[in-house]
Amino acid sequence: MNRLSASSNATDLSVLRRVADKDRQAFTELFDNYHPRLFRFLFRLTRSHGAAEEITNDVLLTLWQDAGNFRGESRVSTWIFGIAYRQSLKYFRKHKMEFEPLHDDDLPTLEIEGQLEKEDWVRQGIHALPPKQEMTVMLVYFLGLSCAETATVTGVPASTVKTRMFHARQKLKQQLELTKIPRRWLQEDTHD
Amino acid sequence: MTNRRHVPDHDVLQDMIPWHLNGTLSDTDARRVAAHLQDCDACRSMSADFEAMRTAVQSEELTPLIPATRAAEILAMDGPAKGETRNKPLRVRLAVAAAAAVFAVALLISYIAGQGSRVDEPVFHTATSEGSAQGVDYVLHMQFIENMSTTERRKIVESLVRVGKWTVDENDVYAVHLQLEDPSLAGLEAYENRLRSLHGVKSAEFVAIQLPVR
Repeated sequence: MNRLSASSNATDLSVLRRVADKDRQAFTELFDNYHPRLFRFLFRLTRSHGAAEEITNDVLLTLWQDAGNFRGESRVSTWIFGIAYRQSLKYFRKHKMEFEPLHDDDLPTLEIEGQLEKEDWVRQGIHALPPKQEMTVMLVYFLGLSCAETATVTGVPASTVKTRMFHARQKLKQQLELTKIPRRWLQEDTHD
Repeated sequence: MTNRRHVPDHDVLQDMIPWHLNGTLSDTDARRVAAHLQDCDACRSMSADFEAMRTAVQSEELTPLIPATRAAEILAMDGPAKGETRNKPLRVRLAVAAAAAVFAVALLISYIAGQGSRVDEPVFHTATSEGSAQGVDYVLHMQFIENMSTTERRKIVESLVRVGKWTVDENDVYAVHLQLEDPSLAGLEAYENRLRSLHGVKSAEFVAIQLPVR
């Protein structure tokens, strides 16, 4: 599981303070530590190499320019992924990336159903969720954030984070129940 | 099936289910949720749904090729560091280039006349260098991105120099003497822009003119 506790917060804080003093070597250290993680997270979110690269670069540039604004109210990693979250939303709005729920027409026919696993269906459903719900699911299950950390990253109360997770689950269930193939799985599950 | 009315904190426990699955609950809360799931069918079903989501996210075999962006490229997006050449508007840069050229010529004349003026900027090479047999030498200052090797830098510099003269100082600023066909300000500007568009070039600016000694 990808947890943000990979690098200690004390180390991150020390590096960030040096970045705030425009220490380029410190920025390189921060870059080496966070660039791959940010890119992988944003790639999962956007499914686009170009989009992930653009947003990652924007986030890192923001870190260079605004490191002095970190108030220490959260872990450094939480603050960084909060910037990534806001940059992602900005990107989605700018590029008018609209998320449509799965429709029956989008689904493969019964002839090729065997090629897809249930996980693929759920994954497609997650990526078809509204952006804030999808991002919340990714923060919790790709980055492994706690509820409080997710609330800090997304800038909303913990209750809103919980609501988004439960709405995501509900929407996903509705989407899957509309399809032909997952219905078969749902029937199999209830017989377990 | 457990009757929710007999579980006062049922909703609280249910709310924690997504985080029970990613292991971020405290030990106490994790035990409470685990115990509750043994007794509540509805919550067990919900937990299965969240587990399906978690598995789908974590099992996705996306291994994207991480771009070979370097930290220096991000820093370059912020603009040059203190002391480096800034990318000014065109008319300002043309005016600065013209002023620098006039200033350099005036300094050369005063130096030759024996007044020995000393200036720190622009960097000025003596007029007695070998490379000035024909026409005028333009002195170009170039800097390269941090991770570019010395070999790569020299390749670029040596591809520019026809007279065979360039130096590099302790700040990794390359001073290159060039003889140009188009010495107009527009020509200098165009030349600078072509150099800046080369991969690895952080800055390129004409800083002085060197006239041949008569």
